[in-house]
Amino acid sequence: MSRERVKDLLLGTWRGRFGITVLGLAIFVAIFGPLLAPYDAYASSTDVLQPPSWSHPLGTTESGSDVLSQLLVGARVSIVVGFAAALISAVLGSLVGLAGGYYGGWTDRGLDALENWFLVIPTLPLMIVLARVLEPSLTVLIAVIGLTSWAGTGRIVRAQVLTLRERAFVERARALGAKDGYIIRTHILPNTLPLIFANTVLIVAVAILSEAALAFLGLGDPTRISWGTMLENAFSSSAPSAGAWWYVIPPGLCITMVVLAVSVLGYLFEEYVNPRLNEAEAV
Amino acid sequence: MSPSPLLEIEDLRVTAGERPIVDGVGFSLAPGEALGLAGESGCGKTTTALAVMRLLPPSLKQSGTVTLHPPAASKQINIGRRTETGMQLVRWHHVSLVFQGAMNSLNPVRKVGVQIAEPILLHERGVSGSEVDERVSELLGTVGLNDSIAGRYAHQLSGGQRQRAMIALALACRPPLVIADEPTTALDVVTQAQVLQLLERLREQLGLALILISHDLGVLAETCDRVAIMNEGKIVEIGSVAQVFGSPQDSYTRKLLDALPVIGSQGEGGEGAGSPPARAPAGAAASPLMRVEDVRVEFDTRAGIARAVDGVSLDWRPGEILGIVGESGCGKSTLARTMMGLQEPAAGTIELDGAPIGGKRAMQGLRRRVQMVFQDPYQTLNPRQRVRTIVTEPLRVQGVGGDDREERVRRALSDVGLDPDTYLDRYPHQLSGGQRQRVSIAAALVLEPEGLICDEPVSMLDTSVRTQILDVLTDLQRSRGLALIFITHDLSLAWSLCDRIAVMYMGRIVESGEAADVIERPQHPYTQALVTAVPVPVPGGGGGRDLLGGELPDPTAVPSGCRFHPRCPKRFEPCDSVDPELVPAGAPGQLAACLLHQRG
Repeated sequence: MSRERVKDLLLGTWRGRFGITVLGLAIFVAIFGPLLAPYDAYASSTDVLQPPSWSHPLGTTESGSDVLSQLLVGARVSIVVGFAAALISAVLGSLVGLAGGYYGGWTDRGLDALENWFLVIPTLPLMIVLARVLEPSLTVLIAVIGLTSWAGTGRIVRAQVLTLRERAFVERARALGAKDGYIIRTHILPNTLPLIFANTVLIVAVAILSEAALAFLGLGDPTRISWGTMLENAFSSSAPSAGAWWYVIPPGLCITMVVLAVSVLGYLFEEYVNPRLNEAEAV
Repeated sequence: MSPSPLLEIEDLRVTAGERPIVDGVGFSLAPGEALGLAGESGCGKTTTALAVMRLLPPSLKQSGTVTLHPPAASKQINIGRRTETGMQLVRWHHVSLVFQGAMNSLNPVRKVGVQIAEPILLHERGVSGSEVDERVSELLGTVGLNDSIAGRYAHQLSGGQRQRAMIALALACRPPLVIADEPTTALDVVTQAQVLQLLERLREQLGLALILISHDLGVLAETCDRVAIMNEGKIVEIGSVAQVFGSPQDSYTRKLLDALPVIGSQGEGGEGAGSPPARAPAGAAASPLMRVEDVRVEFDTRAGIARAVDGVSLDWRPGEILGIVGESGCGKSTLARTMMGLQEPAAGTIELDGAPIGGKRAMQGLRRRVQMVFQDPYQTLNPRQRVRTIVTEPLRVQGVGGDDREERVRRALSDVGLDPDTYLDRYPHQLSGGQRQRVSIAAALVLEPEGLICDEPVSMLDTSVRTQILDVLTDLQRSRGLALIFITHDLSLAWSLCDRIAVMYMGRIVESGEAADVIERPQHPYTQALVTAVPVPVPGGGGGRDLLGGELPDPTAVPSGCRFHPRCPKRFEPCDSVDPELVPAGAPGQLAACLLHQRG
């Protein structure tokens, strides 16, 4: 559990370096993208579906907007939705997992049933229905993705809590007269956090993909550009069949690279916290 | 030395990088001889055994010569020069291994019989299926197991049965040499004695040579012809059991032997284990610190209701060391947890200073005045907390102390022999097992309790560390008048440490009294059996004794009448129908629950 090892993990392996570089770049663009964009990403012009040129390095859209500018501006929505939804899912999953795992009995049975329900219903259709029923906006998007993706985290946290609950140091705390809240806060949660963190990083990837999928289906926030809405616009204007590859490939590639980077990091952390995947010291 | 030794090891060295693990070990073994390899954890005894089989992980480098002269082979076998394929022919055919930890060495998803058959099928091509089945049932018979075991899975067997199955597995290819690595460590006394007796019988019947690895010198003294004591990768002393135990030459050997209490031996009045303590006059008049009355604890299991504790009454007096002994599963830990309020009793009362515990207020009082030390020092400390946090925790939880908390924590650490400046900021993984247990005791002491319940506090520790921890506990008892409950399966330990002892069997106390009376002159047949089963580190000790048969019955199906009668060598007519009560027997203050005493 040392800072040294985390550093080694991130900078010492090519996977770590790749993940950190790509994710760092994506976060940088999410923050400063609008300042970097050479054109107003929302402005239309008469230069419709132009291939890449010196004035438009990644060509233009069907309404004559600059693709590079849209790409730089759109990063923000993808990244914000990805991280915010993952955070909601982490908090929900941890609460449910901690409560179910620690208290057991009927609490656990009830929460377990809820988890199972969220695990088995197909997430994408549920998200589509929810996003359709509610007014499409960034907040709704985040809430919908967060609410539908916590069950896996809940499962993992519960399993960890079940083993921690039986550990002797929890029994020792009970023998000292510690209350449940105290035991959860000081003994259970700190020993679960690395696992929650690793899992949340993986959910960021899922959330970014979900945002792209919903936006592609026209359920994204209509007032904002994201990589998903770019793809939707490209397809609804038949850009692929018009041979406008410069309109489709950049947002697609961006989504793929960021999701790959996040997944790679997530798996690295998972190996780090799960001694069975990596013959390291037990946590 | 016999003309042609079965195994010869010369200058065996195993290194992990620069660090030597085995550092120039050499010995030879005659056919049919039993050699004991003793030493504390990390001394290289298991590594030596694995090196003989060449089973070390690739990160360890092995050098030196290991030569086998099996009677079945025409030439001698040089283990170091064999190819890996060549080694595969040697393993199990000429030398086999009983791995440490019988609980985990069997594959849980394959039937036991299939696993015993595996080496036969691998080594002897062309054996027919019926022949293999015959061999397996013969092997099971050899180790004293029923044929039906072959069709069972590991989890359906008891610890003793698993260990027997492991031995059958080691014998599968009829090797002339078997190496047994801590074969009895996880077993309780009675089962341990049964397994040792089995090994002895096998040596006689099959002319088997044996290398027995154990940290328990008593086990080796009983089973072996010669013993080698290892320390830091070297053999510090080797010789016949009589020599090594009778007149040890090396100071390390003497240290190990001194750390072992021998029941009935007269100590030199020194500190710690090895001699019975100067017993304080039993404070029979003093009102008990805690009183347990007719307590029952039940667990709902799939098989039905298991009564872990079934009507136990006992007094724990201020300042006394009360031992609770019994086999694993007898309910001693459950009783302790119940006294600590960690387990709700199904019936009965537990009083602290005459007031029943249970209410919130009473529970708070209990936890300030009575604390607990747990068995496994690797599990009791939160790996993410520093020693400072761990030892301060009780004060924080109980809201005790303000500015003087740091002071109290430092004092508690000093009391258990840890320098606060060195250890306050360490994490558990930076501590040794003994240091962890000291931290655990410090955390229990920081509230300055009057009583400490210790659940097998030293069973996971090495002999020398064990003595240190026991010294810490007895010093506390003397200097602070701390009352201790000492839960253990180790009768010699209980004898050397405790003032009074209660013996538990299947949730009941079957005998209690002064420690010396109970252990030296046991009145209940069960206590008698336990005492005879204790291995003694005295040459020739323990020979020709009658051992208890069978194992603890299923706790959901308590035998009728006296619950010990199915295993009792002295049972008579009414034992299966009359449930005996504790009645005076033997010395004054000694009680036994046996019909033999009820009559007279």
